[in-house]
Amino acid sequence: MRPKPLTRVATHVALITFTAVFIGPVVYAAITATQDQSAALSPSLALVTDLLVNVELAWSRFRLGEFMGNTVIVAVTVTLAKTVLSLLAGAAFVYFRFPLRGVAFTLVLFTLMMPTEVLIIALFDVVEWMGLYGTLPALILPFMASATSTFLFRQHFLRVPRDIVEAAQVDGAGPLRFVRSVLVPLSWNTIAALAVVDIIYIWNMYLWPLINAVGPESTMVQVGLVRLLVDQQVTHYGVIMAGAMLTMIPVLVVFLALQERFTRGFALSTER
Amino acid sequence: MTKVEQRSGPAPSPAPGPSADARPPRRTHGLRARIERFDAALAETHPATFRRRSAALWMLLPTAVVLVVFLYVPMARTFELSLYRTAIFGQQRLFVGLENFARVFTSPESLDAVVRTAIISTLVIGGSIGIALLLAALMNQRIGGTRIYRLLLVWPLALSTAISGVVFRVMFDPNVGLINSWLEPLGIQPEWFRDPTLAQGILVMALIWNRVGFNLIFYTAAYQNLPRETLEAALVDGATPWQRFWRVTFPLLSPITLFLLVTSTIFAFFDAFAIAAIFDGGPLNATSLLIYEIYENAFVFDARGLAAAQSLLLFLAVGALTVLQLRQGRKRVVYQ
Repeated sequence: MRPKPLTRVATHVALITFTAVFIGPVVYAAITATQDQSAALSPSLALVTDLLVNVELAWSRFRLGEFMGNTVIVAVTVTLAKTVLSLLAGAAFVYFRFPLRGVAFTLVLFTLMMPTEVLIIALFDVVEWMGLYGTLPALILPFMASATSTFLFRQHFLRVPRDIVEAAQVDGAGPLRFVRSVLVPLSWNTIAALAVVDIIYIWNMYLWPLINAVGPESTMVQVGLVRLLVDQQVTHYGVIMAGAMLTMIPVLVVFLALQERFTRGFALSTER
Repeated sequence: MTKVEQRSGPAPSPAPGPSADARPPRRTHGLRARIERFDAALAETHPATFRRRSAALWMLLPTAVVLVVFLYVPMARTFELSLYRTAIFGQQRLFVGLENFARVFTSPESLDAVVRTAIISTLVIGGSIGIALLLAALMNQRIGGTRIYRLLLVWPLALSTAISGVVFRVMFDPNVGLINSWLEPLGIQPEWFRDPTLAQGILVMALIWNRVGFNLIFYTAAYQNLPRETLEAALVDGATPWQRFWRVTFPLLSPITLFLLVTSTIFAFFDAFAIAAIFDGGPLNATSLLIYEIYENAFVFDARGLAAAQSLLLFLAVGALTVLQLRQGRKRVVYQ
């Protein structure tokens, strides 16, 4: 049943208003990204033709290209590692019986309450002691395991029909072959859903990347971009906004590509 | 090898979840009881598939190493640090017991930060979940165009929290910003970042703006998986849309709401740092959230012990809220 016409119009009006408010700042940033310095220094909404100049300046002269490369490396490595590690751990909890399994699972779940930021001072000590301070691995290694992902993979495996598992047993598949040729093909939706969350997480990180940004080789783009606003003698608003627009592209691409799988992946896991 | 004698032909074997849920709830509480109950259910439906326990060890080891080295060890070290007064960034230290914890609550600035964080977080959590739920509900009225709205509404999510802060900082800049140029005809030119209340307002707004997209993608996913029959039954019953939402849809969405409460709490406590840092915690500490104080104390003012105590306070708050939310959830949450 469709709502009455009046209700439909009212709903659209409400949605359009909200959408305008939400994309407003992005549109404003996009317009500023096209402006040269004189236009950007006045609060005008005029489109100027300097977009490519600004992108080029941001990418090369202000090194955002390099920083973006770092962020992408971190995001891809962390997402891949998290997926593999959590998938293996989740499978171990479902398909094996071993002593202290309940305790081990509780200890994994407990880390849900320990966001890295809470441990930032001590994390700094640990990373420095390992000689990793100021390097890219310092941005990758601490985030390779995840309680959330382990938990959700476990939940997903619990719903894998028993016949499939038994068929694999009859075939005599070892644990690793079982994971590779049975579990992984059944888990793409969950993998994709978690990948979306992981990438958003990496993109939003700030405190630890800020502390770890010693040189350009370990600076993530979110830190580099803020420095353009805070540290430069002359603020190039057009360049900053062009940089901001660039950082949106990878997330939007990933989200659009994985949107459907995300919906299906979380459908499974949230049912409990 | 133990095998289940239950190969019931082509019919899919019953999923493990529901059979475990169908039993009358026992009166045991607490995480341990839950896990034990869960283990018992698991043993029934999932007998050990593989017997080589060493394989399980190897599969768990990488996760265990990362969690221990980068979470449990730093956690223990944070406890240790919180008991000391330190100088020269940890080179010298003096055991002071619980003094740092006392300072968190007795020094007026620190207590202010606690209160400020509580208020701002509540606004951000409530605002981002409430708006996302409203938008998801509006988009699911079968009015068409949903895909376009959803596509546009996730844009802020693609901006890093820090970069959202940059955009809002520029947008509200009194000299070059758009907002004041719009307010010019009205004859008002607020100094957004010199007035504590205004700056806090922008902080809350920017955080909500950045987070709604995240909550929205979860709510729209959940909406698409609502059981059609239940919704249609409510429709036949002749309930008003308002009643249908609060009595049918909202309870069905509660597992997701609960999940978003926990993740939004973590966002408001920690990710909010990015924007607070761009506002320099000011003016007059108005946007100096606890996590920003921790950063300043640890890395600028060389007060690592105090920062560690503040960290533990946030840790306890996250833990307590998570447990509280999960417990509330067990009473009210409807699992399908």
